[in-house]
Amino acid sequence: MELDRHFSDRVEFFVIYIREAHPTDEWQVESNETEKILFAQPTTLAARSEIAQVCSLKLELPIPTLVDDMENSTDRKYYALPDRLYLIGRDGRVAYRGGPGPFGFVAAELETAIEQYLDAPSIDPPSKSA
Amino acid sequence: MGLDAFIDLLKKNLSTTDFNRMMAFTASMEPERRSAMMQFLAERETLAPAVGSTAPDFTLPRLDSGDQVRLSSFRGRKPVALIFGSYT
Repeated sequence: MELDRHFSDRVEFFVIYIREAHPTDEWQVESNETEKILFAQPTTLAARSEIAQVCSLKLELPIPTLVDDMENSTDRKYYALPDRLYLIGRDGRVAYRGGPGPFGFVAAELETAIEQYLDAPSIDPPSKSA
Repeated sequence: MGLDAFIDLLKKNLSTTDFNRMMAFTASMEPERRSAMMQFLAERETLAPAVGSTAPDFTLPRLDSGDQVRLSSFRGRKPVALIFGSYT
C-alpha cells in the first residue's frame, strides 16, 4: 500500500482482519468465484488467522495485521464489516471515518484525511518521542 | 441512510447477479433476523464511531508475532490508521 510507505514515519498503520464478508457458506459473490477466493466463515481464531495469513501473503500486505476475536468485538465497536477505513488522532479521537465498503472504502480519502491531519496545527497532546 | 436508500445504493453498485444473490440470501433468513440485519446495515452509519468521538479501545494480536497491540497505547504519540477488512 502506497499510503503506509508515504506516511509510515508519522502514522501507525494496521490492517484489522475481521470476519469474512463473503464466505462460501453465507453471501457468496461473483468476483470471489472468478478469483477463486473461496473460504467458508471460520469458526475458530486459528482458522481465521490462517485465512488472514493467506490474504496477507497473496496481497503482499506490508502493514501489520491484527486479527479480531471470534466475538468480532472490534468489528462491532467500529461497525466495520465488510471493510472500512478510520484515522485515529493522537488524542484518541476519530479523525476520519470512511464509508462502509466496498463503495465507501476509498484509500484516496484516507490519504487526504492523513495529510489534513498532519498539516493541521496540533491540538493533541505532544508526542512523547518529540 | 434509510433502508430503501441503502438498497438502492446496493442495486446501483452491485452486479445484477450479486444483487440478486444478496436478495436471495436475505430472503432465506428468518424474517426477524432478516429485518434485524437489514436495519443494522441501514443504521450503522449512525452507530459507527463518528469523527470527534473517542475511538473505542481494543487489544488484538499481531498475525506475524502474536504480540498484543492496544490502540490506546498510541495515544499522545502517533495517529493510527485502521484498515478493516477480510480476504473475501
